[in-house]
Amino acid sequence: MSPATADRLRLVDAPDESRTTTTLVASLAGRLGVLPLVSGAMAVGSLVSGFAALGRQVGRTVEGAQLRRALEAGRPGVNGPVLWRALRLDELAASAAPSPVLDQLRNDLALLLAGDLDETLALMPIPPQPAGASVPDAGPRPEFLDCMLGMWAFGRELAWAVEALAAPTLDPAGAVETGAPPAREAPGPVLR
Amino acid sequence: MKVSNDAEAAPTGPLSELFHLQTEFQARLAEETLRYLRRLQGTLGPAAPGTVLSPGPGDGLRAAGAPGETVVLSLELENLQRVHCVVSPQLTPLVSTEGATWFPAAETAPYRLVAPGETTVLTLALPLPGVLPPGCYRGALVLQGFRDGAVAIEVAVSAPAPVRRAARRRG
Repeated sequence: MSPATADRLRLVDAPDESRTTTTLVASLAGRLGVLPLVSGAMAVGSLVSGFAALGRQVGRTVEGAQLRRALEAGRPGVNGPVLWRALRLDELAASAAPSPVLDQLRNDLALLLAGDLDETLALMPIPPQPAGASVPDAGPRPEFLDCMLGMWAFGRELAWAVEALAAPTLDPAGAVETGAPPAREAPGPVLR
Repeated sequence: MKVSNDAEAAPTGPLSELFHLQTEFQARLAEETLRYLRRLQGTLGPAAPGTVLSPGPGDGLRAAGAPGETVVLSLELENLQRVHCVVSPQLTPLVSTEGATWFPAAETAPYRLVAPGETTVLTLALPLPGVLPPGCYRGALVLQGFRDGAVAIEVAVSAPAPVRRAARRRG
């Protein structure tokens, strides 16, 4: 192997934003609080638009570009866009602001690992901060293949996240347990 | 007004030009209205605090090697946020100055959880394919979800070492 240079980067808060347990709880509560106020079409459109925005980013990477090219070359590359336009999914996605699906997933994941969650929940209700100027430009019209790539990237990250959360306490593969398995529920009067 | 009997000829004249301008205006108005409504909706929604990259002292990652070898790129990431961060590095295709595009198959951990205050080291092993033409390949290491956060990458690929005569004679 040949040697290479190394670089050092810092992961920091975005300007005018603070990523703490309090702001993450407020963000999650805000998302849930908004749900009764918006239509299903708007909620779904926002998610679809968010997946398409993520897919556009992923399409610039090696894996994403290869996947996109392969999908384009096959039947899904023809049928998908036809369905997309015929069922007016493009209009549904174009009329809604893209939901920052990856940020939301990572923020919710960070809450599961927060050490000060109990203290923070005691402060509820915490008003969420509006996205304001931090919301990114919606970009070009959402396309079918972008949405498909975005869902793939999101699904992959979700699977990795669950595995990473379980990893520290996961039994090793091939483990053998002797004796009776631990009871999952307290025995009721019928079982006594 | 000029009227052509050629079906493929574009209509000309002041009225058709007016019609064309009006149609274009309506289409752009509809598109801009949609964009405005989308931004308005996004602005009023709850914020999702994110992570950005603060650049280090270097100006990217560099490596050099010959086809058949493997080069290693290393990146240190320090989490200065107060909650866990997720790092999922992805390479973009690398393009040489001569116009060749290389889709590298990087060997790296695709997903890393970084605790507050923790520093993690990302190491990417890039095998250089034997058919890779010599040149200087440039691209980026994208850290997804970090608001366009990416690190510039440059890999200098030299010509494969010439086969020695002695080795040929032995063969």
